[in-house]
Order: sequence, then structure tokens, then C-alpha cells
Amino acid sequence: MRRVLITGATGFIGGRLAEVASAQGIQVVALVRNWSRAARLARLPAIMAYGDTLDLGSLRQAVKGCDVVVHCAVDNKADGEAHRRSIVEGTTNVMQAALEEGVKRVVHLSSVAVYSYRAGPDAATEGGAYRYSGDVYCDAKIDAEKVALRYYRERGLPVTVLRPTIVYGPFGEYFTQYTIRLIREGRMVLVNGGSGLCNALYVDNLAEAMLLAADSDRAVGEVFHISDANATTWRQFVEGHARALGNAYLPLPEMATGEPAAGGTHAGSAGTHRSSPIQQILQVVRMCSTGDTLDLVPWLERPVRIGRAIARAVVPRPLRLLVRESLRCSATRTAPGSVDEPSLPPTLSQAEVDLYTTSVVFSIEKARKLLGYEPQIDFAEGMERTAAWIRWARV
Amino acid sequence: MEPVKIGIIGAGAVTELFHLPAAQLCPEAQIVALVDKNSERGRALADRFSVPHVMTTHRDLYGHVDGVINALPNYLHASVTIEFLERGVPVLVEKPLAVTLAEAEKVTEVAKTTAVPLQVGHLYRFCNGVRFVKQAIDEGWLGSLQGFSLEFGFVWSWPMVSGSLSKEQAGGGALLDFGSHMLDLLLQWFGSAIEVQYWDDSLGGVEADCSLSLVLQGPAGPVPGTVALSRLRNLSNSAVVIGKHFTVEYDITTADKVRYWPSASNKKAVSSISNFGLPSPQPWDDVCAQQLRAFARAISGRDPSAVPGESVLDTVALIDRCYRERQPLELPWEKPVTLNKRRPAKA
Repeated sequence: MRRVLITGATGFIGGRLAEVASAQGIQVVALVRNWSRAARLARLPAIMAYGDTLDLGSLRQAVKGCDVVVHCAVDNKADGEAHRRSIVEGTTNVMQAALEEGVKRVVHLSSVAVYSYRAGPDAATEGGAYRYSGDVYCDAKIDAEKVALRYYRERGLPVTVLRPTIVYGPFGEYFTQYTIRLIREGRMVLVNGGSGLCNALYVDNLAEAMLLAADSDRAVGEVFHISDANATTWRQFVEGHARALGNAYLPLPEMATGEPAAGGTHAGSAGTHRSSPIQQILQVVRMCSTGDTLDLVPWLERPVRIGRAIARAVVPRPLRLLVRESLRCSATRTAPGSVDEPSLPPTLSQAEVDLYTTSVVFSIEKARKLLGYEPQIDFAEGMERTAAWIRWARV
Repeated sequence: MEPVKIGIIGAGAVTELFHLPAAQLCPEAQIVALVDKNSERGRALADRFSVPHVMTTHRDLYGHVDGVINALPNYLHASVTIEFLERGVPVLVEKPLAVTLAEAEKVTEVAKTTAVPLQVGHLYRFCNGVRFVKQAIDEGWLGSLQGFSLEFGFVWSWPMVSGSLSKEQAGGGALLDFGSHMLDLLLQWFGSAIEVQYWDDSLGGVEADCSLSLVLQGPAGPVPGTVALSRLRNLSNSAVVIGKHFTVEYDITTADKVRYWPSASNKKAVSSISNFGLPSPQPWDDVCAQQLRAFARAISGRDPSAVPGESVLDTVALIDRCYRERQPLELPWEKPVTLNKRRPAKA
């Protein structure tokens, strides 16, 4: 591989791939739709080609002279049909542009989301059936993967499909920064004790797999699961992130589902949230200092509201503001970073419950065998690096 | 006074967010033309801000304006500014004045020999918070200066409309971009740089994150300090100057928010800078309008340039030196095993 076009290079996974590929002397051409997101990418000696996967003309320009295309782009800011279009139509355009240019390989970044968030036992290997669930992202990833494989079967385009698991690491948006945010806000809960399988994947392992897939002749027309060597539990994953913030957020609250999660069984949406009395009181102190809602601790709602009303009536406003500011500082000192956003009750969507109660181990044996993929960074090392980034980035 | 007629070259984000809104608050200046090679973009902004003419090349402005604002990508700052100065047209050029010290010196020299007003867009010089700290240092009530620290960084979301992030067009990253403001601010407060060490995260492109260790020449001796700038992370966005008696902190995201406290204590009292003879609050629109008003007055000969080229040469020189003496920034999550590893050649 001499010159690779990366779509999604201003994002988390494509951005890391661009760094790793550049460091290995590969000329990176990065498709850039939004310059505001390109600061990290601009550090590299990459060619930044303005374009959009929904604009076939811009893709045709960008892919000129490239022997490999790695397609990572998804518009995560878009909702509904626009989100779906970015995935399915975007993939169609990337495949078409690659076909016209006659590239030697297209690596299509799919996802284990093609099995839905309720992956059944058959999803352990790549032969598992697609599972439409009504979720826009999951269903669109199925359709995009079908498009990519159709280009292989019907047009002879040398496509390789990778299905990564839960990708985390420095600059990770959803499973790193969002997890941290939920922990800080007291909204991250361990479903069923966090015993579900996360199947974490450190981003550098994925980047390595993408480069292997771009190079290996045995990869053409194949689909691969890509994950770390060991299937991490959600408890390990979430507590690992919480520890990166110090121990102020441990232990994490837990939530039991109505049914056991074994075998990918639907776990039910209504969970019972358990916080210790001390956690609840701490929550009240934080909320009092910021004026947040008290939904999480209904038994204290009324006394606090009455207290606030009395304070409003008898204490001059400047003094109230001063007290409130002091409380805010105090809460911040005692629980660093705990009051970024108003705390909300930890309600989970059905998709989240399904995700957190997965019992499937996504096997990487096929990738090991055909690609020579061997994850170099285990969870302990990946989490150590991620924690170092979290502290550096002040997430 | 009749408003001076000004053309703006470059219809990018800084024009949209700063220069055009400022003109609406500044009766001394009238924006008569907007130049951008993307005529669609130029037309859209012109319609929104009632600018009568849209052009696609800056040369169309010759003979039609009293002054120009050069808001082009960095690599065009020096050359286009010189073109206008040599034709006797005053220029307000966005920071950085130029991407190299040699270019900056050339522009300054042309301004000097032609005696045409040249103003550099160092907006922070118009901020009352910056003036307050300068006053505090000059008056000496902070006590002997012990040190300083400045952090300015955010997850970058500047609504850039063209691809001028490349090394060729931008000339540099965080240091040259908003670092120009920050270093200028420090040099205004303290004086010239005596020592500097510089680290950044460039891997061949432009840096997104950088750190400086500096010793600046304070009024009564050397003052050590640090600077961190980032396009990748949210930093404290404050400049702190520690004196023996008092510590003062300027909130860089505002024009005028300052607080100070006895250095022996950690109580941060919020002060009103109006107590010190400077008006507050000062919205950013007002700062931008002040900059434009100063330029209008320079064009009409009422005042000398508020930010002449030679006054920013120390800042450009410091940035130039940083890039020349650059050291790689250590990123705590990076390990050589994943980067800088060359894959074995395919069999």
C-alpha cells in the first residue's frame, strides 16, 4: 500500500488509522467534510481532500491515485434518514468511486451492530445472521455491508469487511468520552452487576487490523470480527474508565434487569436502580449547590424545596449567590468534576440494556488465521493509555 | 467625519464573526466591498451585512477603497498587504502579520517607507482585562513578579470555510493561530523573551497542541512562566500572573473578566475593573468595533496605527524561534510500539 484514501479521517477511528498509517510511511489522503474537525488530522503530512461521501464527484477526485480505500465515515451528528443515508448511500458512493479508480483494496468498516444490540449466540462467528431491529444505525450498517459485498460479488471490487466490537481509546467519542460523562453525571449504571460482555477493542488494535486487511490477499471478499484478545465485561470496562477519574466515582450504582441476561435473552427495560444512602445524600449536596433536579432522590425532594423557598424569602440575593457559589466550589472539591451537567435519573433505553447484557464473545479466530491479526494491546494496557489521555485531555 | 470606505478581502469565519458585525457598530467605517474567490460565499455574506459590492479578486479593489482588511489565509497576509501598502492603501491585516519573521520585517519595512498606516489584528490589545493586568504590573501593586502561567485551549470548532489548515496555507497551527494573540499579550505585559523552550505535537503537519517554557523580561527582572495552547482539549483558558503581594487572573475567553487575590491566600475575589478606571463589562462586539474604529482613525490621519507592524515583531520573532527550536511534545498515551513502527514489506 502506497497511498490510502481514508473516509472519516477527522473522526476517532479514521483519525487514528491516519496517524498509524502516516507513521508507517503510507501517504494518507483524508476526505474532509468539516474543516472544524480537522485539527488533529492537520498534524499529519496527510493530503486533506475536501469532500463528502454523499458527493460522488468529490470522492472521484479524492480517490485518484490511491491504491487502497478505507471507509470509516458515518455522520453521527445526523438523525434518522439523514444518518441512514450517510451510512448506506455514503458506502455506495465510496464503492463506486473505488471501482472506477480500480483500487486494489477497499476496507469497509462495518460493525457487530449488524447483529443488532441483542446479538444471539450465532453472532459468535462471522456466519451469524444479520438481524434487523428497527434501530437506524444497526439496520443501516447491515445495508451498507450488503452494498459493499455486492460490489465484490457483482462488480469484482476487492472488498474486505471488518466488524469491530466496542472501540475505545484516546479521542474516542462514544465509548470513551460519553462513558466518562455518564460516570461524572452519576448516570452510568452497571446492569446486572456489569456481568455482560463488552468485547472491548482498543483503537490501535483496530487500526492494525485495517492495515492488515488492506494488505492481505486472503482478505478479499471476506468478513472479519475484530476485537481484543479477551472479551472484557462491562464492569471491567466502565470501572476502568471510572478509575481514570480517581476513585471518587466508585463504587458505581447498579441496576438489575427483570430477567437474567444469559444467552442474549431480552432483559426487559425496567430496571431497579440502587444507590447507597450516602451516594444519595452526596447527590443532594451536589444538586443543592447547582439548583439541579431532585428526581433521583424523591424522599428528599420536598424538604429541599421548602428550604430553598425559605432561603429565597429571607436571604438577600447577593448572599444567596455567595452561599450557592461556595457550595458549588465545595461540591467540586469533594467530588471532582461531579457537577458538569444537571444530574438525571439513570434510565436506560432498551438498546442500552441489550448492549450491556450481551453474552456473546465475538470470535477473532478467522482474523487471526487469514489476516495474521493478533491484538498487541490488551485491556489493561489500552485502559492505561486511555486513562493517560483522559487526564491529558481533561475530559 | 465621513465614514472611510473599506474593502474586506476574504469572506471566511473571522470576517463573518468579527469584522462585519463590528462594522455595524462603527459609524466611522463603511464596508463597501467584500472579496472572495468563492463568489457564492461572498454574496451570501454581503447580502446578510448589506455590503454593496462583491468581487472575486483583491485587485478589483484598487482605486475604490480608502483601506482594506486582509482576512485571507495566513500565507497571503504578507504579500497582499504589501501590494496595498505600495499603492498607498492602509491595511488592517489579521494576525499573524506573516508566517515568518523575514516576511513580517519586510511588510513592516514597506509600511515605514511608504508611510501608509498598517494595523495588525491583535484584538486582545483592545481588551480591558489585558489593559488591567498591564496596569497592575506597571503600577507595581502585585509586588515583585514571581511567575506566570497561561492556558488557552478548546476542542476546536472554529467554523473554517476553506481548507486553510494545511501547513502550506496556515504556516503553523495553534501557536501561530491563537498563540499569536497569547504571546503578544504576554510580551505586552512583561517585555521581551529571554529564554524559551517549545514542544509541539506536529507529525509533519501543523501543531494542534503545544507547550512553552519561557523566561520573560519583567519590569524588575526575569519572570519565568509556562504557556499551553491546544486545539484538542479544553484548558483553563486563563492567564495568571503571580506577584509577591497579589495574584491576578485574566479570563481569556472574555474581554474584561479579571480577578485577583492576595498571593498568600487562595481566596479568589472577583474585582470590577471599572474600579480601576476601565469600563466593564466589555462585550466582544465592542472590542471588534474599537479595533475597526482605530483603523478608521488611522486611515483618516487622526491617529497613528494602534497596532503598528513593528510593535508585533517581537511576537513574530518569538514564534519563529519556537518553530526553529521545536522539540516533539510527549503525548502520554503514545508509545513507540504503535507509532513510528514500520510495517514489514509485503512478501
